[in-house]
Amino acid sequence: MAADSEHPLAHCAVLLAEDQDFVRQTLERFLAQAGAQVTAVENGADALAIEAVDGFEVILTDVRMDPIDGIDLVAELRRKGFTGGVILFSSDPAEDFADDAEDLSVDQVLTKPIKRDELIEAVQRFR
Amino acid sequence: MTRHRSDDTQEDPDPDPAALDQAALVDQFGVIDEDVVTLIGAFIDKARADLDALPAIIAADPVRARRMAHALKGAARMAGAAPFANTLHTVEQRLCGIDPGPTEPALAACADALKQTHGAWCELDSHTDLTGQQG
Repeated sequence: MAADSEHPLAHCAVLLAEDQDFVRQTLERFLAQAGAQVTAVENGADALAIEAVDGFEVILTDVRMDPIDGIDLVAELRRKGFTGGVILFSSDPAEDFADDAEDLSVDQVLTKPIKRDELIEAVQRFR
Repeated sequence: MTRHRSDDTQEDPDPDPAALDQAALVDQFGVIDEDVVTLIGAFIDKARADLDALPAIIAADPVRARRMAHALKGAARMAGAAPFANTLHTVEQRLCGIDPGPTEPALAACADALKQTHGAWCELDSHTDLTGQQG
């Protein structure tokens, strides 16, 4: 599948970490419909258990999760040398974790509710 | 996706259309098809179970309870259930001490808002046929 207007994220490898089933399934649907190859996990610990993180172009993670939250997840991935795109999302205002986001070279912060088009546009920046 | 029916054994009040904002859902999902209705139905069932569990969790571990309320609030916003999300925000604020009021009436308001959301979901479900189009 080549990237086109219907599948703008064709072959884009995305790691998605979100603990709420409904939100995770919704975002996974948005990404998959756009052609992305999505690996979805329920929290930061499950994301860190994935060995080949370098294979992902973009990591999308919720901020508030247990046992490892999105900030600690990104910090650990950056420490390991992950240089790909990072998008944080939360239902809190982005200002609440702006300092952490800047320190960790987070590329974008999205606030719930996240719209399909908004998400696809955010991920497309890394193509 | 297997069609999921939200548990409708509870009697719902006359549904408030604002309990599930269909315009917001269309804006968010692009189209309200069978899968979207199914996802929201599953969310309502999960939210009901979480709300039932919250009083005991508040008593045992308020920090965990606050995180649960916060996570549920984010999911409710994604589901187009803004009134339900707003009641969860009140619970969250009370559990972290920003709002000094008691949690019991806030939880009761959550339960009422969720019933309204379920009622609105039933309406939506009855107008969404199995070909995935809204009637």
